[in-house]
Amino acid sequence: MSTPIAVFLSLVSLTLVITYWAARRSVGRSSFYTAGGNISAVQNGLAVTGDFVSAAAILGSVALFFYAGVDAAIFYISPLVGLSLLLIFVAKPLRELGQYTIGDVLAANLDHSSVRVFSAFSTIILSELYVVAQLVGAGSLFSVVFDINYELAVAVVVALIVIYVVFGGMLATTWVQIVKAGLLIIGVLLLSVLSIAKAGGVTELFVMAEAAYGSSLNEFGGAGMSIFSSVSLASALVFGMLGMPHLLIRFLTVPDVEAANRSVVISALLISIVLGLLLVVVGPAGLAFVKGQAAFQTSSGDILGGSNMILLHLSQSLGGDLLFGVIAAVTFSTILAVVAGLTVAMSSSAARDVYFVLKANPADEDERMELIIFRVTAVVTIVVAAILSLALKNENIAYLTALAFGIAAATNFPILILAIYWKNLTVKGAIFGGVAGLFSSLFLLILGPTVWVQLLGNSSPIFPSDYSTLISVPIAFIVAYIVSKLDGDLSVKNS
Amino acid sequence: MKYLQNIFTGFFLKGIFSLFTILPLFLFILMSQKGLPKLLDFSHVWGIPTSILFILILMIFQVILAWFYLLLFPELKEDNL
Repeated sequence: MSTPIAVFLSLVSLTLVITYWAARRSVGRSSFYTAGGNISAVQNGLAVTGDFVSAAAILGSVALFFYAGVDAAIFYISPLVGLSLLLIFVAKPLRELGQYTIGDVLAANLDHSSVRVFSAFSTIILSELYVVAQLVGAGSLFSVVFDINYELAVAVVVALIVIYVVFGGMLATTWVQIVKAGLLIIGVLLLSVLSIAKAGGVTELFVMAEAAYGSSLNEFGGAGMSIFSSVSLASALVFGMLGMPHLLIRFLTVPDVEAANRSVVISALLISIVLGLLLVVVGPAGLAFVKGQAAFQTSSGDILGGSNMILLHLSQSLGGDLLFGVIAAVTFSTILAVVAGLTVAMSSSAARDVYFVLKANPADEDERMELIIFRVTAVVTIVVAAILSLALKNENIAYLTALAFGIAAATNFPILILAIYWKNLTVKGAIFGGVAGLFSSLFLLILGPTVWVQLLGNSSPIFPSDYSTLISVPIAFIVAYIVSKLDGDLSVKNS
Repeated sequence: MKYLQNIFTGFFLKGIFSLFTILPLFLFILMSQKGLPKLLDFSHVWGIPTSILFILILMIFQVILAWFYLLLFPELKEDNL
């Protein structure tokens, strides 16, 4: 058995033990939806860190640093800005108004079942997109790492997610995320120490990195993005964090507002440690020890296995098969943990915001049926995502991820903020605003370079950027405002 | 202190912290668009390019700001925000 597979099996065994432990303690919907609200601030800080620092974030940011140098920092600064805004504007009302889902928060001020159904719809759509992106990443990356085929890699992820979510619910998902976050921090620390040791010091590391990069790492503009694309991408990353359901429901798993606020600061600290090490040590080490090395290149000079493999090639270079196995297994576990969190968000939305509201007698507390819906939704959504990931196996992961964040920023974020802070928001305003945000972001993405030119074969894009958040977020706010005003005036007139 | 806390409540406090929160991102985008010409191109510090060091400082600033928000106005977490 190869080292990566042995380390991976050990990690999976550990997560299954956690799931068994959680399953014995998970009783009732509170345990399944929000881990009973008993997660401490430190534990939640670790879990939020794990949720944010996904495989796409680690592998993608190291790859971007490899090609664009210091411009990759947009992926390091934006999430910290998003977390600070979450602390200032969202964490407290979210914890106070929400019980199990984002639909609870919206329904607290907009007491109407259609708002809950809309919230469930948007949660499932954008979580499913993000799951597909993670599954495509898992399949394509680990067919190379573990020397198995794409379909088998996806099937392994699907089987494990069904076990985590169906048997352990949010409690198991949270503890899998905590373990993964701890392993990730240790892994990045280990890579950093070994990189500096191999180079002979920090100064020497940067001399080697800049020699490989071909110019000074002081030079900005390596990514070649326009100011519109830069601001729009930053907006998607910042506001997407405030609209991603799997991140937001983490703040419903803590006992009170104080724990929610403290967990934001703890996760900001942990994320900054991980991303700071990636920026200062691991990114430059990728340039120093991978770029130009024949062992990691194809005959045409490209990176073997694609740019997402740079971090894993660095592990191989620093610690041979053992470190390669450990980092590959940790990366795979990040995918498992993030997909599990997304699946819980979708399942709790379906059970709570759709079934609970639309059943014949909403006052009837039928927990058993709700949990059946929760489990069935988990299985259906992950299987649908797996089928989609087979159809989209050759798509760009970064594009699918940006799509999910862009939709979260344009759909959930404006409605959540308005529902919390603007008392004149009406049910129609919320739904029309959310739908406008959803469709404008999808429409502009279709007209952008990736779909309009690369997928549809047109010569030039109608919309100049792949990132539409700078337009779609204001559209959602404006439509919600206008419809609420018209709706409110009509109600006053009628009464 | 209590007087200050009463003044700095609600949206005023949130607005100030939000401005400081967005500032690092604004500076980064300016730099990535070469809006701050050659400001950081002069040297390395401890062998680290100043651009990378500057971004690291911006990230640390974010964490300190979030921590400061909780520390300076502890009762706001329950009463005023």
